[in-house]
Amino acid sequence: MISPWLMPLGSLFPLLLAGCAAHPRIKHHILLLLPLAALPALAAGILLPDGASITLPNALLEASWTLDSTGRLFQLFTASGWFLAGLYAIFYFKTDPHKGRFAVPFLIAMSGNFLLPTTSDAVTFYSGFAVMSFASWGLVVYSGTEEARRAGRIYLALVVLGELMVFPGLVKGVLWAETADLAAIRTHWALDPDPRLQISLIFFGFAIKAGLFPLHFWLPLAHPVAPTPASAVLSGCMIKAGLLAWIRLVPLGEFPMSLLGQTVGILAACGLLLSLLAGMTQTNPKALLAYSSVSKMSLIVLLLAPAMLEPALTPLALTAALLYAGFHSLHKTALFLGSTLTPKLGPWARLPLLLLCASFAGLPWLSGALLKVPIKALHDHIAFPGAALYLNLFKLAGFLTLLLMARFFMLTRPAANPATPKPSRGLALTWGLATLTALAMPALLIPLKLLPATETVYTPFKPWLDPVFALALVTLLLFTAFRPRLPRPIVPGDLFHILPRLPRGSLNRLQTAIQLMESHFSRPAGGLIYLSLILLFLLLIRQ
Amino acid sequence: MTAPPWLLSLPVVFPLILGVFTLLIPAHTLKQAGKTGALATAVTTLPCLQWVWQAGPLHQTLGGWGAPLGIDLYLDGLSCLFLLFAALTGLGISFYATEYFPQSAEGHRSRTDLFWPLWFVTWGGINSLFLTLDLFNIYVTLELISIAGTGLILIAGTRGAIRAALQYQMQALIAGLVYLLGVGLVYNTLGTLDLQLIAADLSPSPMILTGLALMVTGLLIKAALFPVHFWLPPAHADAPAPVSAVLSGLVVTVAYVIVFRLWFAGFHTIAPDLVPRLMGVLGAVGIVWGGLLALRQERLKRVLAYSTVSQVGYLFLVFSLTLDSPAAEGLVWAGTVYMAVAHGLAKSAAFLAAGCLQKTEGSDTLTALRGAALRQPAAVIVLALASINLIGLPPSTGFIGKWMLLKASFYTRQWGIAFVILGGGLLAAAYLFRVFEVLMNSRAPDNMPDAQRDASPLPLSRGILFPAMLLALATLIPVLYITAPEELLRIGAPVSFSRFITPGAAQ
Repeated sequence: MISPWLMPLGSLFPLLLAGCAAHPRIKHHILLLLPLAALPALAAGILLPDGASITLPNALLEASWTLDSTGRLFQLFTASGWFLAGLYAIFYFKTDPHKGRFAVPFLIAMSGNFLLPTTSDAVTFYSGFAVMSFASWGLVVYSGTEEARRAGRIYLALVVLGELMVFPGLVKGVLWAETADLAAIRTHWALDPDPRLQISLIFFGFAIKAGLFPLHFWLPLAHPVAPTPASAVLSGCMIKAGLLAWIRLVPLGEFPMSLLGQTVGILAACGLLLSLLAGMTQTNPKALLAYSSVSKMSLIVLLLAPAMLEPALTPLALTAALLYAGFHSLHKTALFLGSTLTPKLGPWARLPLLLLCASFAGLPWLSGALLKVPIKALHDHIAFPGAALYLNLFKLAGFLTLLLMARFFMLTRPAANPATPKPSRGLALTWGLATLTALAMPALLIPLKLLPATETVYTPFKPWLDPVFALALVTLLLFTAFRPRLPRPIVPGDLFHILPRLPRGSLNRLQTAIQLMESHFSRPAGGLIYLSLILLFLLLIRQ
Repeated sequence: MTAPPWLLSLPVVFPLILGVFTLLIPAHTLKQAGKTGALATAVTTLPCLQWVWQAGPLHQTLGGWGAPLGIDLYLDGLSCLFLLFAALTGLGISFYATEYFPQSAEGHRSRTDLFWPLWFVTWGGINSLFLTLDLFNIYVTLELISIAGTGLILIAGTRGAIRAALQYQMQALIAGLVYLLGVGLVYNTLGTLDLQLIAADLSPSPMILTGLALMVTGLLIKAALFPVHFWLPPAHADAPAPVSAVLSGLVVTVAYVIVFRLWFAGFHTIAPDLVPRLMGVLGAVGIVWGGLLALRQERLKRVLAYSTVSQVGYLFLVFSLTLDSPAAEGLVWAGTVYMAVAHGLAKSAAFLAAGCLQKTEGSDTLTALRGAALRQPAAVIVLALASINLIGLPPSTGFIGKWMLLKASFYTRQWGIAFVILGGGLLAAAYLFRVFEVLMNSRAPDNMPDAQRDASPLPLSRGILFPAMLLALATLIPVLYITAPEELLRIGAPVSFSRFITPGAAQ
């Protein structure tokens, strides 16, 4: 019997290792600790039985952990994503003199992320979320360039905005449920006479992390500037925290939330199509992958939206969304790790990359194709008006994703310049391991009973009759034959560049005015202020 | 079981004796004496903790003269918590100061040697203020602290520090006199200075109400609530780092705790509602005002000083929040105490780290500190840990405090306050991350002409940051073990604690 202590320990362990970096000798070898830090959490995900739980009444406001199947799935792919990125970082930063500046925020963000899947109280969840979000600012600005700092500023502004939205919503939820237990908060929303504002605050606060349109623009800004292992965890693991937060806090399946469901559905549909199109025009493979992440998260939101309209659909929608999240996490980690590496590896790396791209695009007989099953199950049950449009959206997205991955494959072709130094073997092997994990996902998930009934997984599937694939293939052939010029690339961060700005200097003017008043305070006016305050108090008390 | 008669007077008298002692001993032994003395002073609070924990609140008279004539000392959970807080902060500041101030040669006395006597006197005063129930004794001790504080600021010896010290002394005098006037009025009416006796027969007579208004106003100046905060930033920014930590971390907190005690000892029952509302509004304006100004400062220590103005504002929200709904009182009190302790520890740690950066980089202007994270990672980590508390990010004591206050403001439907609590966090994040962006910038600082620096950069000994790190980590104690401070707060009745309910229960 493994102790449930493994859950809190798994998330504290990376933090402990970050603390060890204070020792100069450990600091020198700190990179070796990065993959090690993820192991206890991985072990917790594999070894602990369902329902294992522990409460620490003294920590925070009664911190508690419970393992359920949702949590296990998240724990597994999060921990393996961090493990692979950590392993990759060992070789990536080998010669970097400032590795500590990467490793410490990396470990702290990992610690925050590992708190999320297993915790069952709102305060701990919120804490983990904040620790993860703020520590990963250090990863974004790591390179210290002007671009990175700008991306960091935007990222941070959105993180703070998200925290400010979630905080009151969560406090309201806890106040209403009279406990910080996540499950209780979820069910107590139903008793709240008008929970719409609170739920929206929570939903959109976490939507920033999940990159929901139109709050997605930090992603394409942050990913290209962050070091590759950081991009991998940002997109592979941390972005999913938003989804987990929705599952834990938004009352899916409790009561219909039509307005929220419709709004979210429309936003996600816009995000899905626009980000796929924007991604197609990118020349930096990491920016392209960032847009692809936005599209995939939009897709996940689209899977959840029917459950908001019709609570009965919730189990189907959740299964589809969860599997999709796990699938995307593993694939995106591998894709990011490969994005800067494979061009340097030479032709032999093309085949695994092709397989990875194909699986990501959902081509048959690869792990990605597996997702069709739960999605189809969901689609079969949808009956609300506009369902046809909804279903066709998925087909369109599948078609565009295929083209996007083809574009990615072309962008990462080996550089013509033979003088580029060969990357270390460790990098290549780590990437290979990540690719293998992604492709072997079904083999990993089925024994853990995380996949729905296995017989449905291998139902015969005739790809050549699927119009989406056929159309995509024809388009690709046409493209290679005629090579039309792509439109000018959309600047990563799209919406941010057209955001209305505050009139320049308006805040400045306010501050100057305050400063001026402040400087008058210390002059004789100060005495007057004393006097008037005393008079004011006397007046108030006399009445 | 009877308490030893020295139990409560020891934490007060011992540092005062040390203050005289450190004035007499040769200068080269000061550091050793400072360390030992600080450790011993901190230890004197432990018997108090043990007593409160086991036997509950304790009332003792100083020198056998009881109230109404003599001075009474009173120990309960609240004062014990703050005593421990002062002990921890004082210990950290003392150990830091031994490394921070240069060692005097044998037979010589330098200006910085005066730190020790002044600091121990201040510490004794602080402990006394947490324990006393006598209104006049509060006045005397406040004056003592102000005079010692002026001396402490003057140790820096710069022109700015002299001006700041003068301003500090002026406001202290005014505040003291206003407070004293109020005490006089109350004494004239009730014939006693003992807070418990006063609380027993309070009536809303004009004399008492006027006295209360004057006392509170005087204390508001000391606690630097907006709009009477303007003496604070120059004083806290121009003093040497350990002194800034004392003033910002401890002295401001003490002044606030007295207002808190006075108010909830009974005055809240007789004062018209508009008074606490006004204090809440001033606190709310102060949060925004201090935050906006901190966003504009070009020196790290000034950013921290204005952040104090902002943080003090949070503490005054309690008066408005407890107004409508007695059920939320326990929640608000606990939240406020957590905010005060978190701010005290975090701000001390931040000032100590800032002092380190100032010494090693030669200046604390933000331009000079560019890229300091590469050269002084430990100081920046301390600053980061402190910032988590100041912004109120989880998991930190500052967050727990904010969580409770926000919950209470929702519960009492004071949406304005909820808005300010959230907006204050946003401002704090903005002004602190502005600093961190400079610190993390990898571009090397421009070569500064030495004339622009306060001093040439100095290497510091490795150990100097340990105390600061300790203080920063101490802010995490309530996060890891929250039941202990909660239990402690519930012991005794410093403020009408019969109505104190667990934060968890005040839903």
